[in-house]
Amino acid sequence: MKHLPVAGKALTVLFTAAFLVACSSSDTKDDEAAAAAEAAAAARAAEEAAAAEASRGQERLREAAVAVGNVFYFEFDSSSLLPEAQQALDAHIALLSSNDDKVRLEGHTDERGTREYNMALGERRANAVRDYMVLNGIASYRIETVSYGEEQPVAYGSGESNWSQNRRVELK
Amino acid sequence: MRFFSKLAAVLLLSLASITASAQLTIEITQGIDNPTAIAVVPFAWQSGGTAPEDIAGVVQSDLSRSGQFAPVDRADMLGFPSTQGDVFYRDWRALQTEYLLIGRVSVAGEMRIDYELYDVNRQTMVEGGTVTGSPNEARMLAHRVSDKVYEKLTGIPGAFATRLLYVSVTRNPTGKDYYRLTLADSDGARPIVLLESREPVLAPAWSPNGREIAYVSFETTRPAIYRQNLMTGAREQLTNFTGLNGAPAWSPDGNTMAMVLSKDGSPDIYLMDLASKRLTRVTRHYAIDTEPTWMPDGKSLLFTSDRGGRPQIYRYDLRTGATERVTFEGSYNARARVAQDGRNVVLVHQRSGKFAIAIHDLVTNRLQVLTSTELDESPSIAPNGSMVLYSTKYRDRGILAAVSVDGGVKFRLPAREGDVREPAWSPYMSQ
Amino acid sequence: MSGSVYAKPVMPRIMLLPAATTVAMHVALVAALTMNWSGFEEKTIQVKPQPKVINAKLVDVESFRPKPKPKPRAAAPRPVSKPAPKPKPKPVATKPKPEVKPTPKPTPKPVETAKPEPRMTEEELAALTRADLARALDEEEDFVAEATAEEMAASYAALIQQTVVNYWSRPPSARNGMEALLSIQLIPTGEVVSVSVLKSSGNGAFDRSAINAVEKAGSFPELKNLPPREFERTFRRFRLLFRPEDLRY
Repeated sequence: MKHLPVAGKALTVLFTAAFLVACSSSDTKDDEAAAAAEAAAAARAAEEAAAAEASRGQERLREAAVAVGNVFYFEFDSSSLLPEAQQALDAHIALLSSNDDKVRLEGHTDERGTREYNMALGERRANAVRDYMVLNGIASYRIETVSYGEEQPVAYGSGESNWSQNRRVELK
Repeated sequence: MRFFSKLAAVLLLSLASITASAQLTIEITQGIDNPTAIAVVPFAWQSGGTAPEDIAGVVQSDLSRSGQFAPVDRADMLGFPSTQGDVFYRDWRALQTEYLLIGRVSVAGEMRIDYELYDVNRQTMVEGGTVTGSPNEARMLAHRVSDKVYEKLTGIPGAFATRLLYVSVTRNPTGKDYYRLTLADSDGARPIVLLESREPVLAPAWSPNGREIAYVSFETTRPAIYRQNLMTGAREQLTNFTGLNGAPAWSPDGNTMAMVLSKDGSPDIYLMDLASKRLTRVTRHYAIDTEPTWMPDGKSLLFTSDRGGRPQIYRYDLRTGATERVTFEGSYNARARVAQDGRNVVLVHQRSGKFAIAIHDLVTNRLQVLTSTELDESPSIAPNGSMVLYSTKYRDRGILAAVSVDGGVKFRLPAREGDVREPAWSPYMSQ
Repeated sequence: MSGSVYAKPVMPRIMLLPAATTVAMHVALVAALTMNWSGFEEKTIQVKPQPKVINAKLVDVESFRPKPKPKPRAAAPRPVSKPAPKPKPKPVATKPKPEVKPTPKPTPKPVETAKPEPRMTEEELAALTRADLARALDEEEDFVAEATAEEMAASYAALIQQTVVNYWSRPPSARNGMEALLSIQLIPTGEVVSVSVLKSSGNGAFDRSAINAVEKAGSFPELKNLPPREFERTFRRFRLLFRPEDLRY
């Protein structure tokens, strides 16, 4: 090796280094692949975790919404949202803010009074819910409102215990 | 002497007649208005086989239901005369009946009913006549006899040969309810289903010629107004707007449909020209304006509005565009319907928490509650202005009931299965 | 001038009586025609609560005064006055009334007094009293009977009215103010023998309802208790005016 020129020595060193590197990089290729795979896996995992987190979040929102129910009640001859109704709606609004779903609001009244006036009253109630949702960021084109007036009661008898169940807006 | 006796006699007589003209006159300013006793004798069937319909039975029920007459029980009749020669007034005076109706029925292709009405006390014939028509319409022919008798004895045309629309709902606990728009005779007989749906049907209305109807149906999952020809069944959807589409009301000339739409923000009254389908907006108020109905002269509309806070009746003059409030008594007055006299308005009135049918006199502005039931709605007035049909609740079911315009006569219509609601009394049926 | 060729017509005595009768008849006829008939107008009876009639007769000395002649009684029947018949004050304005300073304090009386006459002595007064008292009482009784008869007629008329009201069933086309005038004929048993329409309301059903009300009543048996004179005077033939006031409009 004494009579090798310096360049030769350098090249040898280089080639040895390269050889060493190459050897090591062929390990690294696997490693890289492994690492890439790992990274990808990690990324996927992260994504899935995020998605899972998100859907768990939505799930929680949905559960919250389901928990409060999709029916909001009103006082006689009134279309003002009661505080409980507002709170319940907040849960739905949170859910809707997280997705693209469309909803249909159906307004109802109890049996007292005239039919067509009750149609208008039912619409007023559905509109009250819609307006609250729009105020809280849900686009109005996503909300359809229909009034059924007194046509579709859930409780058929008379008396306040039945009537109070019928004065409602249903969210579907 | 004889000459002077005669002269004296003449003078005395003339004195007597002068003094006789000074007579007592007693004023009768009140009455008790008991129903008039009338005997409706089973009409004689003059063709072969058995009679297809008990004509006299239909007439007797009609007269009884009007509240103006107290028919004699058949079991009490001593005989069944069918011609003038068979009538022995003594027999009928014994029953203390004031009037006697007899008749004869025959079918030769057409059905023919001859009838005669007698005044038992004065022993004279008051009226006689004939009605003819298809044997399939036997009940309607009987109703026409009732109309004639009623008119002769009350001075008001009868409204027995008319029809009703109503909505019948069958509850389905496991699924959706059934809604049936039904057409029947004015006594509830011969019901025919015109429309059946799993979605609500409401607000049936008659065209002024009695040949078409309009109603609201949710069959498209949204309310829409439809018009339908009774004979052909042909339908036309008149509206498809967002929001409310409701309360159709035909103008007296049949050319315009008043309706309620909320497409422009709040429920308002609109007029649709039926030929061009062009809309004209009548009310422009952020309150609820609904339940339009036409005055018989077609020049103004009554409608319900809560622009004053709670529902009251308002009047809109089509010519001047002016709106004025009509009802001031009570905190809730809605769903007005005007009688043909243009004076009596029936409506739903809330008093002490109860919803009753009341009548408002447009001339005196006085309001009188007619019913003693509690959850009344949808009053519909007979074309002769004598009776009001409405829907109410009885033992937790929706039924139809009737009350006379003076509140004196009340009855419930026989309950069918399910809930019955939204009655609409037809105009006089053109022959 | 005497000795005329033509014999003067002499009224034979036999003609005097018929002539007098004729004249009397004419006078009566003229009197009947020209007398004040306001007292004979048809009186109407309305359903009003009858006020209690207190028959306070005011007795005073005037009635014991000598009367020039018995006052003429009106030949025509006097119909019932409305609403509560009160005893008519005696028509004393036609005769002069001597003013007497009464020893017993007189109760005030609504009588027009005529020019005063010379006072009578107490003896003369006493003498007249007995004779005239009887006559005065007779007149008083007649007068009382007259007033009672009027009251009676009024109460029977009210009874007829109430009976007919209970039988009158107005048709739906009846309106306040519609009028049907019927002529009714009774016989003394109270039975209705004739009903006819004198003036129609223009509404056949309304007219018929009025006739039916009377036919259903059929008879007014209480009228049997009327003295015949009263029945003939007022109830043999009378009128019923059907004019509702209690309808909604």
